[in-house]
Amino acid sequence: MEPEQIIKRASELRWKLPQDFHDRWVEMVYADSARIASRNMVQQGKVHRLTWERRLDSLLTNRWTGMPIMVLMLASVLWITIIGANVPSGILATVLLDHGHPMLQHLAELAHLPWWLSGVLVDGLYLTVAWVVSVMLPPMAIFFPLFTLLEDFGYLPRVAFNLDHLFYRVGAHGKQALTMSMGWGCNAAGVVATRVIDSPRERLIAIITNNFALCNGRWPTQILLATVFLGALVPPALAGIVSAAAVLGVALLGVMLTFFSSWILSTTVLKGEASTFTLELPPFRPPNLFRTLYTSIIDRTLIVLWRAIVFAAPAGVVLWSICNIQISGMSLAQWLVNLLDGPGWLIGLNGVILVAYIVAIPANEIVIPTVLMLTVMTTGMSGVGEQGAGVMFETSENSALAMLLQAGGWTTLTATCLMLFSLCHNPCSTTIYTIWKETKSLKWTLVSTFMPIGFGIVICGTVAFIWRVVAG
Amino acid sequence: MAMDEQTLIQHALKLFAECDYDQQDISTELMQDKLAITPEQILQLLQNLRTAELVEQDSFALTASGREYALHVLQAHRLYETYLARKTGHSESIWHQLADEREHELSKDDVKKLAEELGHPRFDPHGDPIPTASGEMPAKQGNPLVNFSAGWEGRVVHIEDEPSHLYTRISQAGITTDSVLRIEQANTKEIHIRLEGQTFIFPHAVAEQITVVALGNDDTFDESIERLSTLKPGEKAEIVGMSSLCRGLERSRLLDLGVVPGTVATVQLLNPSGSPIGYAIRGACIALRKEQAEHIRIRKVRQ
Repeated sequence: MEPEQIIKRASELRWKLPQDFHDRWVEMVYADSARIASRNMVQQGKVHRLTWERRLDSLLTNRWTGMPIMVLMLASVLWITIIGANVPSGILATVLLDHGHPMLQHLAELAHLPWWLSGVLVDGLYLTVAWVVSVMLPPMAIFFPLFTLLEDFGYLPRVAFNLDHLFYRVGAHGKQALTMSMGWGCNAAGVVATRVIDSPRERLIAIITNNFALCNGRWPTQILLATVFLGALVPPALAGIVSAAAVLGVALLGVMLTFFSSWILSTTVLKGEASTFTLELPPFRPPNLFRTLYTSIIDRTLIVLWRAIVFAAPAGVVLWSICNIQISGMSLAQWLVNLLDGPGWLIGLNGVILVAYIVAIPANEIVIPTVLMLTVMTTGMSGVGEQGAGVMFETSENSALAMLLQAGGWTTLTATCLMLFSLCHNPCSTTIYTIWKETKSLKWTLVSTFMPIGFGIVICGTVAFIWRVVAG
Repeated sequence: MAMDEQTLIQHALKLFAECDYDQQDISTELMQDKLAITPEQILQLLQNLRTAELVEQDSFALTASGREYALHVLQAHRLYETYLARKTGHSESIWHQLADEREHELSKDDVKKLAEELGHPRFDPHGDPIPTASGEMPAKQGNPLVNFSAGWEGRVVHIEDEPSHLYTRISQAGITTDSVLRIEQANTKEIHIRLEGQTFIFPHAVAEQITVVALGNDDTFDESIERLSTLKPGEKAEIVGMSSLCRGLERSRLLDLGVVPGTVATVQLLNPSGSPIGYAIRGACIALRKEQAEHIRIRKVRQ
């Protein structure tokens, strides 16, 4: 046969193969390799699942017991984290802030450093980093190992299995339940955790919406505001319940916003991304304590903490500088506060809060200290935070705090809007950087950064408007 | 819909080539209907096509250069639909529309790259043949499902994707371009078809969209084939294969997990909400959503 004829014949025959020939062929290759493997492989150990495993599985995924167990587990992890972190956080604060800071100030004096240099280094850089470390390290060092233990034991995949139908409705993956709860510890860690989702679209959804999980840098803000402002509205006996309910309400609003924004993303900008679903439910196994501690402390806690420090240090410098650089008799910070007072009013906040949020992009932990410092500076109050401009502080006296903030023009509306804004604003720079590292996409990094701010402005603006109309 | 002149010409050429393939006569009414333009615009369009020597002066037949151009557009359209099906998550109801928009922007080089990337597919997801770079295309095969009567067994080769509301009904039933089916009952209004352990009742308008061929020599309609989604706890199934509706990333992921012909599967973990369900596959428990399980064909094994 002539070569041309062969080619012609081949291309004729090519059309005669069944349509699904290629798929079938690949399937056969897989089936053959599976057969070869099973023929030559000896499997050791148990094949059948043990009875207790079956019992536990049906207990954890049961219609009646699945949900209560899940809520109980989550609540206890959060409770252990918050209670357990108090003591080490207090110790770190005493060492780094109460003793370390004055000591460094003293050293700077002895070394005859110029006032601005000691200000930038000690009051700006050191204080901010110390603050972030003392607030952030203990909760993370408790939360992440607990979470990893549950993961290793095999419980978390069951949670994803139970909740998948909810996430499916908004076009997301059940495993997003896990990355969301991880976000309650730290959003940057939550974003890293989305690696467990192997479908591109669902993974992006989980990354972009992770910020709506209230992270441990924001829980204290919520608790403080709820206690000082909302708890004070009711008789003392009810104060605890009301403020706890308010904080829980904000966290649940975050969950609702996660679903809502997931749905919007999956039906608009992300609808073209490839999507798939698989969820492996590994057998239960006793977690390896040592390995768990190692991976969760090294891989999760320390990496996140390091990034936070890297970003917080320059923020401290900026914060101190804007408070101490004078332009026409007013500090730069004062100028900014005046400038942002108008836009802040529209969304129920004020200039001080907006400046604090801009400066505190690196770490949510320093928002409240910055707000307090700026409030003292702008109101010129005496008696609290007298360490000077640009030096953050916090007070444990709730009444003193309320007095200070009310002098700064705060009302219940301000506190409510700040609680909402604390939930819906841009992720901290550590998280933004992590999103960039994980997606390698400028577009999705920008979407993740600005979508929550959009939500925050709309929600706070609406609340403020209705509040003012109703309250007259 | 406002269309620029080049787009309109390409749409017209595509229509001419499709009619040629279907051995359907072209008329100005058909053009008006398919291209959604006024009779005046049709006259102008035909004049333009003839001036450019893409269509013969005295008939609706394509010239050699017209045919080449038309096949390029057709190739671009069908390749792009294949690309959408395999590599993106867009729902199948909008593939046609997206491909209609994108086909005009693809140059010969783009099309060549796309074909290479996809491994030179021969058919698009609806079963239409994709012309090769040299303009080769096989003769049309098969007949509409409505032409056959009760008891007939055959294989689906093509599903018309326009209009999309009829197409959606077919794809929701999980019928695809490799389904083997039997006609249970056929009357003047409806046709009852049996496949994969289920019976679907379609009005003629829907059944018209499905093109079928008779079964080949080594091909049979197997009554014992069902879908994994119908497997109940305590039952055991042997996987027969995956429907071609399970494509791209999802298909390779499932193959990786061992969802291959011959694998034995059982239900291991039920979900209170009904989906996903955990299946024991090759010693692992893998949760699959209901619509994924519908795309996996099984044969139940007696205990």
